[in-house]
Amino acid sequence: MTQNLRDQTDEFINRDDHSLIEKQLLFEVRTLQKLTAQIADRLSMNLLFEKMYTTRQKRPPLKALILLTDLDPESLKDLVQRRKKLARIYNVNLTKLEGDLYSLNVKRFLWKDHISGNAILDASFKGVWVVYCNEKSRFARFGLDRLFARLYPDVSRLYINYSQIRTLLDNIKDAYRGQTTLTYFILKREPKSADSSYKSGTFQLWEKNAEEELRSQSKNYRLAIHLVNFEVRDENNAILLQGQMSRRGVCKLRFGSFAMFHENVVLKAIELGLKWKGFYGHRERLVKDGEILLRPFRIGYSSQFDEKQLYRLTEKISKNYLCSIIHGGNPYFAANVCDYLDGSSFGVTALGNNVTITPITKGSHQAAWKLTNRLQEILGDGEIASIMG
Amino acid sequence: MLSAPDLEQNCVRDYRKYSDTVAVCCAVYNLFSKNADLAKFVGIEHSLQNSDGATVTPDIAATFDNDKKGLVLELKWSLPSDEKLLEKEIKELGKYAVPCSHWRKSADKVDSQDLVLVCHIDDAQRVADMIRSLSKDEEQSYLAKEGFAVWSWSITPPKKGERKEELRLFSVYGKTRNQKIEELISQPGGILFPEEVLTFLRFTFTFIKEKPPLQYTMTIMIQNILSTFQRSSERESYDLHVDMIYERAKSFFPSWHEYDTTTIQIKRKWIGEALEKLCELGLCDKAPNKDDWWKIPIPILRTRKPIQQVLCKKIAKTYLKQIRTKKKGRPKSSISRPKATKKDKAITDYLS
Repeated sequence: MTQNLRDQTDEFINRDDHSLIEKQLLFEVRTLQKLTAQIADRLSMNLLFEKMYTTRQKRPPLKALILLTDLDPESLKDLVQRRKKLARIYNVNLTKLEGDLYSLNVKRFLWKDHISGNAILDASFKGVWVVYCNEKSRFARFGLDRLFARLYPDVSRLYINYSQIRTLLDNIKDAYRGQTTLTYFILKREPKSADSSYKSGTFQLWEKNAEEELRSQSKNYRLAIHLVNFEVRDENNAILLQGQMSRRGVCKLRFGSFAMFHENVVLKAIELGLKWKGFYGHRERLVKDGEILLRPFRIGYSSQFDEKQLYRLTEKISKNYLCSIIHGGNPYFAANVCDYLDGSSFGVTALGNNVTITPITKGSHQAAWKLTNRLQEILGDGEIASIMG
Repeated sequence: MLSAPDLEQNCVRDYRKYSDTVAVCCAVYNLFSKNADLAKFVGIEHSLQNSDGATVTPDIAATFDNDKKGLVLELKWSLPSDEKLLEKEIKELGKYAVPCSHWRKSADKVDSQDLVLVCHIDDAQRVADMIRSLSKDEEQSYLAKEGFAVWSWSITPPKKGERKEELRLFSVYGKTRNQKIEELISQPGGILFPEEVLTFLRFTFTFIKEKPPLQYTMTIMIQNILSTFQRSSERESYDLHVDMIYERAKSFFPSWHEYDTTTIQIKRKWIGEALEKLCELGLCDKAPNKDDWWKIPIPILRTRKPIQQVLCKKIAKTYLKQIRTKKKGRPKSSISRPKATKKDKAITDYLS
């Protein structure tokens, strides 16, 4: 936490017009943040987070942002500096704590204001950075999240869809040897049929057993899951973990042992991330002994697309990618799309109940994964599988 | 004169027609290379020597009946609407009707060879009518005989809840001497291609032998070729030589590994023309004092609309501007003289 922000908080606390509870809360937050800034090594980090999240207190959840990159964390400052627009609004400081553990201080200028905070960057897994942050969600969302989003393609996100979240939750359940239940979810839904009684848009639900509702929603709608809150309970119904998992690879710990969370949630998510990184990688169009080799993959759906959905796809995909639309939905969807930031290009078709993605040139794993996620955000989550060319 | 929206619409339609013709080429290539019992695939743009001594390179060449018979397919993405030009195009097919050699190393010559013209459904009827009228001519009599056929293709939209979109090839005119192919193509609905052709095989190649419309080459270059030079996520300007671009583009031409010098020159020229046009539309620049070097910003274009639509709009606008300038022509020179005032003397006064 910067000195400036600390002073502001002190000043705020010392004012007389706050209730005792408010003051207590602010004091609590300030103390926590001070403590995070004082993490000196992995042991102190583990101890601090363990202590913080095994006691019931109102505090920001611990966010673990999982990023895929082969870069050395020490090049982070250079990465920011090389991007002119980013360098203008971000001030990033990285301090090595121990081995692959770094303390990260990020300050983002927002119009006349600024947000700043601390995080811990763990680069102990090859090809992965995990950024832990227990600051308020404003800093996590507008400071950290946006910073790393704009470092694409050097640093890329881990995007997980509904079926991958389910796999992950099953793995977590097995690891804890307990019962996992969904307690909350946010999703975007689009009716599968033209029946006007089904409405499209964002849908969220707080319920003890939200999974059943999620299943019933998936019968009538195409769903793109945004985030889920979950609980893991033991056989005595005691809560072992309260956490959250988002589509963009952010795992949150609200309550529970940090060591267990790290072992059973973060590591499982990394495992899943590396598996899918391998899936999306090395798929570009190749010429071998005079033969053209294609390595396409597809997103499978349970129902066929109608013309309206395909026109919507045409409209939406053009906003994020440099597209040439060969067929915009009639008789089917076929397009050539190019990632502006990465230069990777793909052939995309939607036929029957499958979307086929054929990497053409470059076709990096980052770009393929990002495109697959974007397509699922538009058309709903599906099952991703390789096609034998 | 066509209006700007009409020009734009035609331009986008041509882009789509060429792209679908490439898909059909990939489909036929896939059909022959996977089903040797129908015909054994020889090559795309394979060089054949005809008995006149000329080298011909049909789009697709195959053999059947134990390499005793040859089959040549020529694909046309668009055929002229003008009757004379159409007649000329069809007469040019005659070069494939002359017996050819160099089919395979093992079978240099064939006993007979069949020719199939594959064209877009929009042109099919006109082509069939023209062929019927031309075949009356003795010189073009091969058009009426067995061994010459015209095929067309369609992508059929699905019937509600019944089936998916399909690519089908069907006969429009004539017959080949390949029994198996004829059995397939004469069945109701013609030859049904596997779904993969529409989903990913259409991206195997990007060009056919016939010259693409300029907007097509430009789009492919922007999306698949120039983008590979991108090194930073921010927009930067790159100095690129036309040969560097050609090298990257090479594998998108189906017969890139069999190229002779003439073909290389032709394909390189397509790229050169596309670069010139991009430059004319203000999307890139020529590098100063360097021949064949181009200053290209990558990404070259940022738009929320389909790229071919943006390019076609620009092309139509530039074209109409040029037409208007041409119509106006050079402004007529007029000599303006100040009018004489009362004080001025008449010219005749000086003569006396």
